[in-house]
Amino acid sequence: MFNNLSTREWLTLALVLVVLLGAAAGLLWMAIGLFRARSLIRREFSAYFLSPIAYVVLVVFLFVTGDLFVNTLGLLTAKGPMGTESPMQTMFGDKLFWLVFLFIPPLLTMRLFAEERSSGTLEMLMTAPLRDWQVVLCKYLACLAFYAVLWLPTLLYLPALLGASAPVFNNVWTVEGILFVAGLGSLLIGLVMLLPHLATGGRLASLVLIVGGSVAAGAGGWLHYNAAGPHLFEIPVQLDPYPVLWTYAGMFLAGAMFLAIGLLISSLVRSQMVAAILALAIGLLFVGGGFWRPELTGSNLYNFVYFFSVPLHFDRSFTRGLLDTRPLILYGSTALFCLFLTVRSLESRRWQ
Amino acid sequence: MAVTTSAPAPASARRPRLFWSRLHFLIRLLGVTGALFACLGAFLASIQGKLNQPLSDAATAWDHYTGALNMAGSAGEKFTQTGSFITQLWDIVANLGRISLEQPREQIATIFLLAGAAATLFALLVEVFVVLCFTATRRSAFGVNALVQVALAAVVLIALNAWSFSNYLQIDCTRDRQYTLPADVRNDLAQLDPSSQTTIIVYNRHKVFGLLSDNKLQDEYDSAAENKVVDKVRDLVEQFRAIGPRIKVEMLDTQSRDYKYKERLQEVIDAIVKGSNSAGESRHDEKRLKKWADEAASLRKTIEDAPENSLFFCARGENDKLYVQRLSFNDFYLLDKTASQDDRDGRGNLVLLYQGVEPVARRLLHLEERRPRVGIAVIHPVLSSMRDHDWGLRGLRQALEKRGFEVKDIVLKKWSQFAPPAAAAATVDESALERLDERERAMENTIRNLERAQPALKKGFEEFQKAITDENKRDELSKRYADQLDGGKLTVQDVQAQAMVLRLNLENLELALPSYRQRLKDVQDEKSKLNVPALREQQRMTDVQAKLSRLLDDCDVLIVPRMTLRNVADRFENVPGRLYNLDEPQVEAIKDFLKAGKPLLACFGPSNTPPDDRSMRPGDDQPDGLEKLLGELGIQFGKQTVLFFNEEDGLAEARADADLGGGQLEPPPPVLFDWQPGVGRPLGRRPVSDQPNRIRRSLQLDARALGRDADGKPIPLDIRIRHPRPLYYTPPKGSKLPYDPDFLMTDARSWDEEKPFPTGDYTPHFDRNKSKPGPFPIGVALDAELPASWYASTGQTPPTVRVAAIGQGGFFTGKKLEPADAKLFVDILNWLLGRDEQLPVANRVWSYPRVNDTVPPGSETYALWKYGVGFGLPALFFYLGGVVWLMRRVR
Repeated sequence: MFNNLSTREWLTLALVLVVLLGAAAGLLWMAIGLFRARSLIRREFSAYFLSPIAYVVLVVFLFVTGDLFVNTLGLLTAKGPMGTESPMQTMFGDKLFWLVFLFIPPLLTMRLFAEERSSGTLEMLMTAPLRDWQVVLCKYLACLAFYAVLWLPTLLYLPALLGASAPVFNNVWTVEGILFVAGLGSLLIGLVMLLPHLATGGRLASLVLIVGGSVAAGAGGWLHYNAAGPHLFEIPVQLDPYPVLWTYAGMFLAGAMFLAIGLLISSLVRSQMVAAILALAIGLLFVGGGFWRPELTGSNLYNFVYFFSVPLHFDRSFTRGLLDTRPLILYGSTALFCLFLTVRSLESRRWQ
Repeated sequence: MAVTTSAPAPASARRPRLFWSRLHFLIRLLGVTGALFACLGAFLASIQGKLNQPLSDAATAWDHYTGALNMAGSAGEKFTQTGSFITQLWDIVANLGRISLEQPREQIATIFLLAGAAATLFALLVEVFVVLCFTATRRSAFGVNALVQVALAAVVLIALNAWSFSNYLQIDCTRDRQYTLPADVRNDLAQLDPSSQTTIIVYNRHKVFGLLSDNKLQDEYDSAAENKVVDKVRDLVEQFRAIGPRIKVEMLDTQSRDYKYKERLQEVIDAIVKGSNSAGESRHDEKRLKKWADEAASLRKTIEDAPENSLFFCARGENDKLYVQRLSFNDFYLLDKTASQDDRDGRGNLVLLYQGVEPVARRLLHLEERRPRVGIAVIHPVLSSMRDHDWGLRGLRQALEKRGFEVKDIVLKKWSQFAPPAAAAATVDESALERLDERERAMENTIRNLERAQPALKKGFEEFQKAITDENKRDELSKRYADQLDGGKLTVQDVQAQAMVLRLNLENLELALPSYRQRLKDVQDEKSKLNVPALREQQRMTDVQAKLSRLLDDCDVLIVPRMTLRNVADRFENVPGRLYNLDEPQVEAIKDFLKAGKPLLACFGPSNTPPDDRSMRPGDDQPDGLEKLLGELGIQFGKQTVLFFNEEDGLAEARADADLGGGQLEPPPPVLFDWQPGVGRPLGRRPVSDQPNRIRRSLQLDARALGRDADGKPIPLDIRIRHPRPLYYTPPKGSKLPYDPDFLMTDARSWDEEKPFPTGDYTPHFDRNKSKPGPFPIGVALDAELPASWYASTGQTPPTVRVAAIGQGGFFTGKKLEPADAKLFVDILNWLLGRDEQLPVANRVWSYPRVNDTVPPGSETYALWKYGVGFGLPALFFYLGGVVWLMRRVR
């Protein structure tokens, strides 16, 4: 495979490797930094569960998705020629959903810095032995974790939407199967170890188990899923599972982008209300295109609108099992850019 | 972390700062006001339509730019293209500015827009300058550093997204890769000429073919299928669009929400016809403009004449010719309403038969493919497809032309009032020329006679006029007309009366002459539309066989219709079968056509004649050469006429009272496509095969689009054939078909009648001793191996030719063809032409996914999912939130 590579291709390959190694080193460095600031993550995360607004968001969100779930289930079991080819598209292509979704990230992020700023605790936070990026990332990860928690109950819809039957266990032990089970076990142990108060070593061990277990379970599960023959663990489903997978992955990334925008706005203003309204207004730029007229499909204008319109990404790609690189790059790059700006925004307090 | 603070500014420095602060405010005010005016100008200009042309030019420039970028190889070329694009944009803006300055009053909105934009731009530039100055003069390194970082990050963000906008990847992770074109199709499409662009028009006219009559309403299955197929077509064109700029997709919806279908259609047509030359039409010569106008009109007609939702493929090919191909949505997905109604134990679903993406790809790749030409051999111009007559085939022509065929009429008889019809071979134009020649001759004669009569009439009038006052003249006239006056003498009153008669005659003649001249001119105009020299040359050919062979040369398939019995209860509605008999040279020409490997469709009605037909000559009731020729291929035409039980009443009434109210027959029951092997065959004849032939399978699938009626019975395809003739296939020695050649069968409630005409002493009725009960095969289609005897002289191996026959030639006449009849013909012709891939198949079935097995509707499980999960979850979190709130209140 590598025998026929030209010098230029070798150089490119080397460059890519260097970039990947650099990125991995950077991530590791950031992970260590975050681990050291884990108490801030815990504080921010638990704060959500003590705040009434988080429960309001949860209830409204689940009520809307529940209603959409019932409608979709109705279509999947409807009499006559009514139906839906992509249940995820029916649920998350709906305007009502995006109207509600638009409000969620601003509500989750509005208090992150604005509250600290207005109550005067930001200075205290800034004097803590933490770097600015650690503060920003801790708040962001806590917020992202709560956003993920918001979506967890919706996983309960999936068995019905996919037409899943009772799981089948086969006594077939393969390397992939063992890797998958071992990964799941590690993950579970790591999560359980989070519950008691442990020393740094214990925490590190739990983190290693969670990360390692997730990787092992993911890789083993993927290989096991794609292997032929009977599987150790099977859930027969009548519908295609990939649209579900990509929808959830897309929702996570889109949420990551909106939360990063909200975080940036929150770092710029003092009032929570102003932060929420501004984040909402910016979010509208990414959601408003979802109400575009379909007649314009294919025109340059439509392509441009499609590029920025998150509902259209879900309507045309993720919910149908298509993985489009454009939204992925948009979400990822915008989130990183906003986080970077947030760090700079905090930093600016020192030199302004 | 070092934090620097700026030193307080000296008092002397405050004055310029105050000045600058106010100036800065003014510049910002200018910018904001400019932006307001720009918005106002843009709004006014857009409602006045003044921005349409610049925006259209900009869109065209953008299209070219993106197209050129995709085709550009090196970064240098891309850079050049970008420069060219910016220059074009600047030209558009400059042109807008020039127009505004020339007509400032009319262009006030544009002036607002341009001036506002300029002011905003100026203010922004000043802001950029201020920011740069600020960063350059700031003593703290943090500010500059942070600003540079932010700027770099912003550049990376924009560049990355701009790059990903045009360089993206879509990975189809669905189970059956439903959003990905098959690799072979992609490879084929990659061979499309990169320099030419093909436009696919998705034309949604909200009508599915569905084999319904126009006046029948769509039911919920038809509507659901239409919507779903439109979605599927959209998905498909998205995939084609992803291939690159060589394929452009336009959506047209006759019921678009903005009600701008007509304008949109014209825009699309103009873009296709004019292509990249649409801007600056005045540069082009009149010839080209006329060509564009003709092409646009033709394309518009083609699109608007589409009988159902369709895809059109348009592109310029060789010699700058515009090629258009059409594909019905149903050629892509076909509704199986029967399966839809039966699915899930009668709960219903939407079931579509996926025909694959290949038909679409084939149209794209073979856009310049010649349309198949269908020859129709008739015995009289009235029966041809050019005549708008109940007995003509205008409806068939229209149906075939709308579905991508060309039609050519051939007239096989020359008619005269004074002699029996003679064998001929002429086009309809030739016959028309003959008729026009006759009319022209007659007209010229009349005009000549009238012109000659005019001076005599005028002279007579003058003489009688003079005789009123001149007695000598009266005497002279009395002598001249003495025989008519019986020796009498003309009085003043007589002369006056005659003068008045002559004057009136003269006036009438003067009025008639221009009218006759105009009629002559009309005839000559009509003649001038014909290619008279070529037709004269054809007329000079006297060898019928050679002439017919020549006419058949450019036909790909031949239809020979023989409309004999239309209504046995009404003598005047039938054409004697003997009139259709062909002469030997004509049969030989058709034989040569078959020997050339070209297919034939014979639609022969019954040859029965009324018992009191005195014009019958011995041998007239015998099969002609063509029927015998088909017999050699194994197709035997029965001598009887199939009558249906529901026609008995009408036949009896016709006999009793033929003049008043008789002769009205009930419509026959629809033909069948489903039957058990061996049904309809004479006793002792085994079925050829259990496998239905391709046309029958196709029609069975078409019929499934109709579903079931309220009683649960399948609704038959509405093809009703009155008075058909049984057809039997008897395989010639040594040949064996792998399928059953029968594709049409009459209803079982019928019998074969040797004497189908009601007479004074006989009413046709079913007599079990003389007749056989139905059903009867009335349509066969087969791959016929031509007899070796035909090639005895050459020693060639006989080829196999596709031949089909239907036992009636009159059910498809008229000005309009029913959709089901049209589908029958299109399927038969496609099969005859070897275009099997254009016949529907049922290999791939699509339906809505259902979860009824795991969540049965109405069950406890369903209720648990619906209320437990759907609404229970928010209730649970509401409860948890309440508990947390209560806990927080505990001190």
